[in-house]
Amino acid sequence: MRRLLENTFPLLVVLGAVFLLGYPFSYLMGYPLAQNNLEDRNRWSQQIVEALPPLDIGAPAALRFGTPLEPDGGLLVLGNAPYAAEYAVQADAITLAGAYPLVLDPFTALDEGQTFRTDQVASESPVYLDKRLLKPGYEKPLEKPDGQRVGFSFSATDGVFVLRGRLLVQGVDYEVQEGVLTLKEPAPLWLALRPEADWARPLRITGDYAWADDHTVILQQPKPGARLELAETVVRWAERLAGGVDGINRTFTLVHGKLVPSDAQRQILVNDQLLRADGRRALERADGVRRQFTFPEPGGVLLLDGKALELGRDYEQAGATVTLNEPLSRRSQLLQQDYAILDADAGQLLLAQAPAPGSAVWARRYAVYDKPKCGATVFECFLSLPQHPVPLPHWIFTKAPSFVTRFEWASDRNVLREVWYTARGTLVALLSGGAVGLFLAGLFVLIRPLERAMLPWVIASQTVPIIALVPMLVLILANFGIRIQTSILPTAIIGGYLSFFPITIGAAKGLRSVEPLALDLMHSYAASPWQVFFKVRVYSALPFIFASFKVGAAASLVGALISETETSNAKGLGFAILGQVQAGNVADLWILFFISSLLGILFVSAVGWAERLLAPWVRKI
Amino acid sequence: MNKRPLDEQGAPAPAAPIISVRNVNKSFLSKGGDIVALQGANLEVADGEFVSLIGPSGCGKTTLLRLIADLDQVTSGQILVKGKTPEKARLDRDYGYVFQAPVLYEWRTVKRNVELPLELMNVPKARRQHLAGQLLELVGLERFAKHYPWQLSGGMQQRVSIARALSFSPSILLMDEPFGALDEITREQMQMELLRLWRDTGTTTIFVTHSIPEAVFLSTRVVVMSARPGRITDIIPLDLPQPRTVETRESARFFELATRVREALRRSEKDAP
Repeated sequence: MRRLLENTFPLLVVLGAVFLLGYPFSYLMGYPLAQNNLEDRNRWSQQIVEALPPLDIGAPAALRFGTPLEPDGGLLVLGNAPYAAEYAVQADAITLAGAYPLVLDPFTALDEGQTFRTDQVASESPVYLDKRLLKPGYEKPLEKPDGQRVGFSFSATDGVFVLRGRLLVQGVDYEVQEGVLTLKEPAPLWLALRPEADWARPLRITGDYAWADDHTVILQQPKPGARLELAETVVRWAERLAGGVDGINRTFTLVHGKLVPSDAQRQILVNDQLLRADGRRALERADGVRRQFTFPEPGGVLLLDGKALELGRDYEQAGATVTLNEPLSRRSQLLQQDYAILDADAGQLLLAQAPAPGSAVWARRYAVYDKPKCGATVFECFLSLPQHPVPLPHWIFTKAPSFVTRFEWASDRNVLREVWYTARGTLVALLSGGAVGLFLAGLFVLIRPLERAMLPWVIASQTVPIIALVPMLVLILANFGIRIQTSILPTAIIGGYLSFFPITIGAAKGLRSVEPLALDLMHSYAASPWQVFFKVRVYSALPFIFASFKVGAAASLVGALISETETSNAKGLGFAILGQVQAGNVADLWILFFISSLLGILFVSAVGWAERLLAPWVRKI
Repeated sequence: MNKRPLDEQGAPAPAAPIISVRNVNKSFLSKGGDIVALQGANLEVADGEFVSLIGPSGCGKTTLLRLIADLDQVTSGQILVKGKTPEKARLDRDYGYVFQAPVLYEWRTVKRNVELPLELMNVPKARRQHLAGQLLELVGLERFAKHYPWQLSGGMQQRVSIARALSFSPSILLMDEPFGALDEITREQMQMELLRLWRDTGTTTIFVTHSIPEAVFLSTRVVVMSARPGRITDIIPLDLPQPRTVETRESARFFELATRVREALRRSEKDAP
């Protein structure tokens, strides 16, 4: 007992130190990412500000919008055009002089008043329930579906979950625990073909409703018998950009502040003309010398690497052709837009053309980025990372059990099964590499000239990049009708290829390292070369052989892992590692890293145990 | 073990020597020219004799022993062991060799180390175990049969190596400073045991040493050698009575003979070129 304690204590101290050092290390490695999350506005919480639809369309003569309206700061719009109607503003309501133009499209209820369907394609058009405006809202999970994932994290677990147009039923479709939604069936693979298609993931409805696919709206609360309508055309109250509309001024301000250049939500209009913010490229490529560029259409603001250029100072323009004063460097990006952001923090925009007097410059929609989503400091952002580049040490221990039980034993993706597969491959590789190594070493020691002839080739064999060898081997084996998917042969060959070298060198060294006197003694007994070999050389070589087998065991494991990544075997730790690399699951990768390391340690220790069993005379220091 | 009658007086060898060394030269090749290890050595050893080779370091004592054992080959001259070439004698397993170090195989137990020569000679297992047991009894190590060499003290290890050299009853025992690394007390004990073994087995023994009292106490003849080049300068017959006991060491004759050996050694030093 005391001995056990004495033996394990240093190990515990080292493990403890590694464990504790893991935290600062993890923070250090995760710092750049956390800092980026804190500073990159694209990762800030985003609030979409839209032209307001009226709250209630029951009485169209007076439209209530729910917020105090400033007559100067806004205008009425219908669709994408200012609505030329006479109206009076009173606090949060507007009274139209004429009739209210309204097109409502009713939904069909698919069940007891929770799932509704329309023939229209999902749009930003407001949805009214019994003539009253509903507030949309949903939360996306942190994870993306990879076709296998069943667990998705949400900030809260109350409410209604939907997936691809379908309302999920607790107990039947999912279980929920501590912010993690666990589906019974994996969510189908998410393809980023349409970035806006959030409904490819499971969603949690946080508002009154959410679109669950192109045609389906799901309410948070079932409203049996309710009448749900999509208002295709509705009079909205839109925000007017600050700035003089005098035919000269081109600078306008979106008073709500901080803008992000990449905001895809932003829609700025002059009268009914949508200004395009997606950059148009020149027809010519920048080559570092060229100064003259032609765009598909004339006009527009020129942006060089995101900064607006000034006509006259930076470039000259003739129709759709511009001539820069400086040649464009090859790495720079020259874009033409209808407007540019002059000052993102102040919300200042520069329009390509000054709007004619009397036109309306307005924002139909834009996003406000108010604060970082991840927290106020880098540290908070670090803690909120869904996965750290280097996971926090305790995380490994908390996630490891579920990692083992994620797939049932019968599945090829069960991690224990993968470990077993790799271990088997490694063992076969070590034994085959060991057999070749020992044979070569014996040959080299018995027939000296053979060593001089073959050793350079043995060394050269280890300079061949193994990664290049594997696909070749797969092709060759396929020629012999050996199916990679079922055969352990490639693993044995690759692992053996890597492990035979240290074993050859170690065993040859061992067979040579006999004490001269021990050989003299055998000589004095007139022993035959075979007797010398098997009674002396082999035994004195054993410590060397075991040491080289330890190196060989580690090499075999590397070979097994590499062969698994290359052979589309779909089995083993190597394949699992590759899969997690492609899925970007850093944390699972770390668990696999630890499992592979443990396997390596196990193999090396097993060689040690074999040594103690087979060579008990070797004194342990 | 066949006993042979001993020459009580330790007189020079009779006509038919068991080992004869005639005009033997041995030089080793080296970068700075050949090194002459042994020059014009002549020696005849009779059956049952105990001959010690004594001299300073580098005088070729070990070389001479290795030449007799066919562990090295002569450059010129002739050695006959039982009337045969050393190589033939080695192949016939005519001698047992005890090195300066015990040279026990650490992967074999004490008993299996003693069995090794018998194993190489394909002696049946039961027979060789019996013989090894007897030999261990002879050197007083029967209790350590199952031990591994590293569990034994230096003296015990050397005793195992002597038992091993005797295991196949060779007619000649060649010993190269076997007690060199032992402390004085163990050394004297070992000397007594060696003498007992020699008397019991009657094995002709050539014993390399650099200790004068050891040579005088053990031998029937002492061969004095000198260095640079290594050569035999004197052969002194010792007439101490057999069997030798603790008292022998304290007798006047012992000191007298020891003085003679010492003087011979000194003379050979002076004569050295």
